[in-house]
Amino acid sequence: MLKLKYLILVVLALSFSPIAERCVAEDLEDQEDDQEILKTFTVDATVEGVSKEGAVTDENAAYVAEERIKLDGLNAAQLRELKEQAETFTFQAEVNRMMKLIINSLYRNKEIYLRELISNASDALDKIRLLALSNSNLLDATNELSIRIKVNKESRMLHITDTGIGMTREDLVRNLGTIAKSGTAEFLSSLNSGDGQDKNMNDMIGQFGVGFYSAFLVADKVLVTTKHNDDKQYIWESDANSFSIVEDPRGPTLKRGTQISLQLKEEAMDNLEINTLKNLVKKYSQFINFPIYLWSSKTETVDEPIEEDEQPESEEKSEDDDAAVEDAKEETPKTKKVDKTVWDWEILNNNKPIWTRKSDDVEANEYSEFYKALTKDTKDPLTYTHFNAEGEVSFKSLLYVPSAQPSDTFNKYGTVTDNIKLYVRRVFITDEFTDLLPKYLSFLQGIVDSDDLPLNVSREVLQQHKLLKIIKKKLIRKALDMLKKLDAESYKKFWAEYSTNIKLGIIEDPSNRARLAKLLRFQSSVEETPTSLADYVKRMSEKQEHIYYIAGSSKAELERSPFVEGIIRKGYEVLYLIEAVDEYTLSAIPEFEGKKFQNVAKEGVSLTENKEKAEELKVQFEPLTKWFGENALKDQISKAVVSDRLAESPCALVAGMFGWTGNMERLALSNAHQKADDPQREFYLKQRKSLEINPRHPLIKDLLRRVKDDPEDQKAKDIAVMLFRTATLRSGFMLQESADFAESVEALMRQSLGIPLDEKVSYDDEESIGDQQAEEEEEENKEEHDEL
Amino acid sequence: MIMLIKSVVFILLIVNSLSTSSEDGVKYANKCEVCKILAEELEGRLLETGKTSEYLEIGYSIDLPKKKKEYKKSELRLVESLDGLCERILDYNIHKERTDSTRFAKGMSQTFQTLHGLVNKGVKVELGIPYELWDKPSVEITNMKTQCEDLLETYESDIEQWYFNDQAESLGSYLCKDRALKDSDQTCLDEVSPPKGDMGQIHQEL
Repeated sequence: MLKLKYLILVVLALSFSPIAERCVAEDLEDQEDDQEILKTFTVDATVEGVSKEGAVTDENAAYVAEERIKLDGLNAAQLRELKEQAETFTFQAEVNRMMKLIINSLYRNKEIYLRELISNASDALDKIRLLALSNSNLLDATNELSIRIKVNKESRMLHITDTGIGMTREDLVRNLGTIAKSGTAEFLSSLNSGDGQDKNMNDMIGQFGVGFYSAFLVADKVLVTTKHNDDKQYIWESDANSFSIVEDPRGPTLKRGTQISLQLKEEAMDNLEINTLKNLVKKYSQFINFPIYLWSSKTETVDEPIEEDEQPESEEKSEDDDAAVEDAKEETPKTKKVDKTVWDWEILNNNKPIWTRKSDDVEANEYSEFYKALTKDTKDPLTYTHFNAEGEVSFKSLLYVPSAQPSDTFNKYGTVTDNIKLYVRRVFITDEFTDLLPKYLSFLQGIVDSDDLPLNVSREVLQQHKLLKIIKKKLIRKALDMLKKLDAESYKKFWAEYSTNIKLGIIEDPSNRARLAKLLRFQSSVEETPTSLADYVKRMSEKQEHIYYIAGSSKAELERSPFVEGIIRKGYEVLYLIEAVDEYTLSAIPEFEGKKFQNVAKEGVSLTENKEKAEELKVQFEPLTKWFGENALKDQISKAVVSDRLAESPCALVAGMFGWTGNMERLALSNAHQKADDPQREFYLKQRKSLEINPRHPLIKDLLRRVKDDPEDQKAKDIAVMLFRTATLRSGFMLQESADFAESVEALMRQSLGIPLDEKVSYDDEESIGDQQAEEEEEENKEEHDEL
Repeated sequence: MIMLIKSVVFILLIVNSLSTSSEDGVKYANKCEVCKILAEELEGRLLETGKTSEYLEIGYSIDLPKKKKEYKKSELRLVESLDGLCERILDYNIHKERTDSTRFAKGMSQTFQTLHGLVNKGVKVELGIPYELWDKPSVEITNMKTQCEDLLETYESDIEQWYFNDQAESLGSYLCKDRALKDSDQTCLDEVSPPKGDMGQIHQEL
């Protein structure tokens, strides 16, 4: 029971606007303390000149009272009472700072105030509608769910009224005066990190729930009248310096909800024009799922009885009465046509959600506008899909691919929630699901609206609902379908932004692996632009059995790898995998369109068609291969074999079929998050590779001659070690004994320069010992061999 | 990013093998074996999920009668049964003492039972791989899992068709015999696992 109460409190705390979203539950217990702090704060904050405590006294009071008159139905006695009762607060210092920031950075973009206020109203309506699902009594006060905008030109007031959840007194103090700490900190730090452009600011205020304060962009004074089911009706009032709260002497005139009344600034008077308001609503709020009404006039031609007096103007109608004055068809036959100005609530938005309409009836730019309204993104989406899923669970969905994803996406990979808003029967339920889409697709934005899910359960229960599995499966399929259908140009953009997501998808989602594989693009040895696997397979010659690939850190490096020489010479295409995740991805795909993959840095590449010649070479070089494996490089390699894939290089170090290539070793070793003592990793790293030798290379031929003569030839042994080390480097592995390697290269340098090997380093001398030649080690190496 | 690489490394580590190099000793499952085991596993899953007689309640409205759907006949049951189906193949081990399709069987192979037995008795057994990796799925197994996933993705609509309409026929015959293996070797479908306790030729294998 206690828990339930607590829950309700939390919900209430969340009631007004997202401001409160970061106002976490534990704050509630400190409520009393907070108030105290708030009051103490006042003392500090009032130092800057104007006494804020005194803002509602003396000559100001008359003005304030005058303003309040503009709220309908307050008489003089009530005003006096108000003056006496009003409790004045000072804004938390952060709020002040933030209001200044908002006002200063958005002054050129004032009109967004309406979007923010309507969006808050819509959130408040969403909240009451959701709560009412489990307790329909909550709608007893009024079952209307709408947003109404009304202007009063004489008093320069603009009222925006919703019948949402409303705020209790506590909510008022908390939501409109303080900001939950984390929210403020986050908002301010984002401002500092970004460049504070008003465009960014424009995008941000809504996200951080501080949109309410944008009201001060156009208003000198803001009054908030609010009624929550659990409390009385209050009036909150502020001139952006301090605020006061008082119980509304008129009683619960709102029934339920919140009315924001703006005392417009001189320069913002334009916002009292009906047309301006209509345009703003259309521009920013046309996709709000609640009706937005504007109190406006239109001219109607009515049949008037000739001799009777005119009907009273409909302006005096109560707000709740929606019906237009239509006193047509009087029984008196004598009537005349009269033009008459009729005031009525005019609906401004087509509040039928866009996804419930037929996709044929929705224009492309409507989709795009809806996306922007949904995500607060300023750019158009890259693509979208709108579909109805039928079957056991029927649902409608609209999915968008944003044109960019945040650059820190993969640092948060798997920890962020989906960007999918879930609706059940047009009622917004949550956008905090974590399992409606797999991690790799969490960049998708959009909505899902199902008729078949239960409404009156908590989000946690719904999250567990089995039918979500079916929805998830279908969402993935539709999303992949959408990507497959992208034209080349758009796909290029998509790939530039989301390639890592797709590659991870292949690893994480085996049930869609083949579908995802079709979306892959890689650099290749024949195409300038990244190629798809399907195109690769199309280009394959009949003799070619495998899809060849090699992984490394850059295309330039891979093009010169010894592993690709023979394959390219043969006219085959090689895919160059240059992203860290690539090699993992391809090793997760067994085959594509029936063609198996072959990592050319591993064993198993066989290019020769002439088996006899190959056998002949194998026999011819057997003394050398044996000598390598059993004598010269006994502890370094698993075996030496005659290669048929090398063209220019003397030899290469080849990973076993199930071993790690140089690229994999590099990635595994540079992985910061790993177990220090992992037997599996150790095992893989310790695996010896096999040495493939190029029987056509002069170095190898000469070595064969020497070894045949004398297997214990020290020079041949030294060269073998040198060959092994250069092969290690060329094949993309990391050299373990780099100091030894450097020493032996230096020895070769001495030889080629004719410096005796035993000449000592002369410490007192400044002369250096030929390090300028260091870069030529490869060259030196070869020349030396020739000399041998 | 690091997190994901980590998980990926893990996956690759599973792709491990007793034979450290060359194809020697590695005999991947053929399509017939994969299909056979997939069909057995799916039928097994369906048996498990089919025990319930609960009804799915769909829709929320208080006034309208809820749509009811027998779970046993629901799409959800199929989705839940297929979900992670091929993971189950990782429970298999390769029993090198056998040569036909029955070499893929659940439980520790007798070869390894014997080896573990030896280790427990204090005998030093050197297999060329760390002891920690002995019980990791072998490359044949992980490869078969991958093949299973491929088969599932390719024949998904056939499986759905079978699930909703043709369950009278066995999945092995509907999916493997008539479809997946239509033009290829089907001999494995008739091979039957030997009875337990066949301690046969372990030593030969060692």
